[in-house]
Amino acid sequence: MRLTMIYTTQVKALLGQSTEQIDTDNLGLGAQFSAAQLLTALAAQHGAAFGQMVLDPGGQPAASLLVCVGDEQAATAGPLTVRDGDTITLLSAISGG
Amino acid sequence: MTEPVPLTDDERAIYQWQLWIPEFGEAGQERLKGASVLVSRVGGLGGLVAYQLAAAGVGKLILAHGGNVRPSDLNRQLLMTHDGLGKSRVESARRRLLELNPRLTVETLAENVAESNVEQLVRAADIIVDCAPLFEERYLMNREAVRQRKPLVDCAMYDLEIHLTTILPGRTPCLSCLYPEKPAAWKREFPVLGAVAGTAACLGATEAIKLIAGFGQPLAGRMLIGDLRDMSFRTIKLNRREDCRVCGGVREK
Ligand SMILES: [Zn+2]
Repeated sequence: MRLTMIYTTQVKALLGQSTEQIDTDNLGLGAQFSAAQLLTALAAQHGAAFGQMVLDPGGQPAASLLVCVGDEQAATAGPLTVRDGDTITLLSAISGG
Repeated sequence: MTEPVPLTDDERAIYQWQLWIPEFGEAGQERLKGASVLVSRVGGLGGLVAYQLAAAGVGKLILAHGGNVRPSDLNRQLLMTHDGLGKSRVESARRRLLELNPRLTVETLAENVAESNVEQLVRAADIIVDCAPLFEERYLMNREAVRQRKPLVDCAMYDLEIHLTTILPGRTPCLSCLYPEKPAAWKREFPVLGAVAGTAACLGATEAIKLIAGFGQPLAGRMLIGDLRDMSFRTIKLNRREDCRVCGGVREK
């Protein structure tokens, strides 16, 4: 399955890129996968700093991160409901000033 | 939510152009005049929120922001001026707001939102616009807004990006539903351009005006995300967290 990742705010700043095309087969993900599995697979590609930003120490999506499929926030428990061609946006909490 | 206050002829003249907005009109203006809004803080974001609300004719602004004006404030904190360097930020804000709207009531607290003052600050307001940089302050305002069932407009920015959502306690997700914990690697100082902070501020002020006057559709349960690098804007549908430690079990009044 091919997906488009959209990285925003601190995640984008860390990776130096705002978007990435991924193939879930190449990432070793099955037909169904959770947000945690997707983020773990991406962390294996993008390194420890990315992993620490998007995952908590228990390997679950960070409590400061929203995972969105298309224009809807996805539930992070259980498998993600995604289809080929979908867009997944990672929103990390930001503040004012 | 707020008690309308009748307008004077002077006010009808000042607000003439916005009185032409359908659904707003004199009734909306009277509600703005009767409203108290808490804005914290009054930097690049909150300063512009306060300025727009003062211009629009909100009756009372409650401003909380500690510290004195520093050179590095002046790229975005438009209520602060060179001659205010080294002096109180909220006093600078008060002076500039009253220059714009001398009919405005301004209450200032030269402190940032903290556990010791948040209950009272929120109590004094009909609606809260959260523009604070520290997540501790944001979580406190969120918790207190939920406790007191007051709407909160949550404004945030980073680099050229903005996030905006409106929290209606008991009806929409609260800040703790969205982000139960602050980002682990968050840095207090982050890149931002004044015009980007001002964009988030004008959007936030518009939300507050709509909520007070009771027209339009607020960003309830939705987050506007914008990246001004390519001027892309989207609205994300948000979920409430049933086991949220702040609003779990809270129902709309
Ligand atoms: Zn909540």
